[in-house]
Amino acid sequence: MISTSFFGRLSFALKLIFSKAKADNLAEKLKDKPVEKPLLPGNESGALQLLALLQKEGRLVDFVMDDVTQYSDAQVGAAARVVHQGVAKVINSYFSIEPVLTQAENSSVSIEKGFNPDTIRLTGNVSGEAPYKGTLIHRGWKSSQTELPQVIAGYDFSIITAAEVEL
Amino acid sequence: MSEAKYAIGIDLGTTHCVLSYASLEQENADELVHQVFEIAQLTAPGQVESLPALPSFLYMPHAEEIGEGELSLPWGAENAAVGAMARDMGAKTPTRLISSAKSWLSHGQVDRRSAFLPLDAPKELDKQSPFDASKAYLQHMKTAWNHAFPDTPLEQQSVTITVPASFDPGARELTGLAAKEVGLGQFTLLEEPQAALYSWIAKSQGKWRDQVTVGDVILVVDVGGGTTDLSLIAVTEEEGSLQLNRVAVGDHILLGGDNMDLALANAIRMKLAKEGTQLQPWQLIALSHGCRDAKEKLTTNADLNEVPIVVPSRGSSLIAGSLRTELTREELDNVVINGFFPEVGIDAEVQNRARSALTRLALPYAQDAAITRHIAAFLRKQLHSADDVEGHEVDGSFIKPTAIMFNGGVIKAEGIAQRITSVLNGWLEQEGASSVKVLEGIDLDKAVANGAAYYSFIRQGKGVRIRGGIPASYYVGIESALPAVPGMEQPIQAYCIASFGMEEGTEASLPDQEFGLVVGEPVRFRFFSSTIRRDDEPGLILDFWNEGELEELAPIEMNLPADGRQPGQIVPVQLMATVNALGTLELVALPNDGDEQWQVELDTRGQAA
Repeated sequence: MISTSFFGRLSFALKLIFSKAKADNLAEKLKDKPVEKPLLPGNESGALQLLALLQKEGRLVDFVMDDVTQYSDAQVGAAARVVHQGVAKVINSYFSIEPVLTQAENSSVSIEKGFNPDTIRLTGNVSGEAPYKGTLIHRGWKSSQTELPQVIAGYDFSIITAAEVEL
Repeated sequence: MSEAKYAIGIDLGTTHCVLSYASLEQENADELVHQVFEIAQLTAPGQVESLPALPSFLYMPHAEEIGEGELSLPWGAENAAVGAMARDMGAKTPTRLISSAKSWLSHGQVDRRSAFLPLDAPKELDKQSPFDASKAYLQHMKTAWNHAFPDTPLEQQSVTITVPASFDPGARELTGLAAKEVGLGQFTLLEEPQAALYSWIAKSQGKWRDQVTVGDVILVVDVGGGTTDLSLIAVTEEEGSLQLNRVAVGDHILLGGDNMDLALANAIRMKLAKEGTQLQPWQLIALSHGCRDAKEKLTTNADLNEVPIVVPSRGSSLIAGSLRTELTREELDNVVINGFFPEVGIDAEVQNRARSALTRLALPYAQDAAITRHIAAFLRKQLHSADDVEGHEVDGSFIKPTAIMFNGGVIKAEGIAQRITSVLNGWLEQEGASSVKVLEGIDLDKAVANGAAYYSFIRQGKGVRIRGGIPASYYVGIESALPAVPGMEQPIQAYCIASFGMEEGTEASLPDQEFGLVVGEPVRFRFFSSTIRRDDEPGLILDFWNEGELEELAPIEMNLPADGRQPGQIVPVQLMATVNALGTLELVALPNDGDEQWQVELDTRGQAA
């Protein structure tokens, strides 16, 4: 038998009451039927198109397909400059990128009720209700405008870069 | 024709074209809002993007170089590519690429309408003329615009197309003709340095009137990718308001940023060769692109002492095959700053080497790379160009600008503008004049197009105009009737037909000198211009002129149709010059015995090509 003191029992009872209140709240939420959405495959042609642009301008596929272990840091660094410059060009030309939150990182921020959880991700001690107080860890990035090159109908996206033969 | 809705400016550049536009419904020129039109173009086979500039390149792909339908544009497929893809493909296959068509268009020694480009084209390629290529760029911009704005087609808008101030009458006429053949209706031509100044005026939102005063002479230095263009613009007053007058233009100098980047690349090539690395030709091109970026970074950031440059490999092993080097401040100063902009005296002469007789057909690049020497020569030559400008003092050995404005992509390397300014201030100080003020604030890549759009806007009578007229006096050569002496060149007289500053829509008084034309045969006359002898009246005959006063242009050609006359008969005619609404010079031959008129060809079929 487990002997329990009166106060112990009381505290247990209180805990039960409180957790029941919480559970009721949660149960209420769970009682609503979860919203169901169909699943779609990721956008393959868009991904391949971006890969081709990153290769064309920044040689990204060349860089990643190479085995870096056999080169010195100086050699890898030199090639990284090509990649950095080219990838930056792609990102700046086809996307309008800006931070989701403009406050300084590591400052404290308040997240108001009704925020979009896709835009702001809560982590750590996630409890209670909005407004939430927390520390901004990462400002996030969003693209307010995306404009990729137009391509002709039937374009073969699987060719990231064509082989080149000099005559 | 419906009424124009937009004021359009087209910068038809040597290396790229820009189109800027503004709504004509705006009221005030001082608050004019204009924007750059993003031109749809092929950026890779089968891919189209809209970019703020259209690279001035025409690429004629081999049938098996491109997949089916891969030259499609939003408005249909074409046989050749214009723009970004053309430039990129041409870098790897130069024999199918036409570049610098504009420089060829101003080359008086070739037939600018004969199809000889690309020079090294493979036999099966359908070559094009510089004129055709210029037309292709205009046609592309027109089609792209009409696709984006179908309700306000370009041919119904008020359009201004820019040309270098140093373009000869033939090149101006051809540019106008290209626009006409493309179907542009309401267009005019404007000199690029003027367009840059208009852009500065537009950008100042009316405050330009506080920054210049009566008697100011503004030196506009426009260093583009392939050419350097100089102009002087004087500030005068008329009926209480400030007026701008273009008082002088410089010679055509085929020298620009591309030359500087190539010179840097060569300097680095030699450095690498000393270290035992030999560069391939394709690496040199990539290196010169890298040098351009490095040049801009070094001259805009004084804390940097060197900027790394990486020439990527051609093959897929990027890390092993790339070449890393660096451009140091010392190399930049030696090659570009001291090479192209040396600290020279105001008396410095432009160095001309005699060309070797066996030069192959090529663009007449400036032989002296020192732009500061070209500026010195220009300022000395134009000492008297602002003599009648009130408030301007003429003394010393050169005309003293009081302000300077820079334009062109090269100036993005800030150290270059600083060097030119300091050299100019040195000359001014030597002759007791005060330093120039620098007129700043224009967007170096778009100023010409924006200024041209502004000009299209104010042509409706809503703002200040720069007065200019034709940029030189023009002369026809008459061989004197002296007996020929062996070994001596037959003396020649120059007969003035149009004087400097004749404005658009005017005609010169009809002089009485007669020329004999043979019916049914083209007759050529030597043709000269002078930017110094600005007071010569039409009809004046010069027996003698100082060296450098007159410059010979491509010959002009008169062709009298035989209809109604005996072939071989000699008909006396008079020559009359008019400046048409485009601002280009036109010459007509008037026979003494009738009221017909024959157009005189200013752009003749050159001997070469």
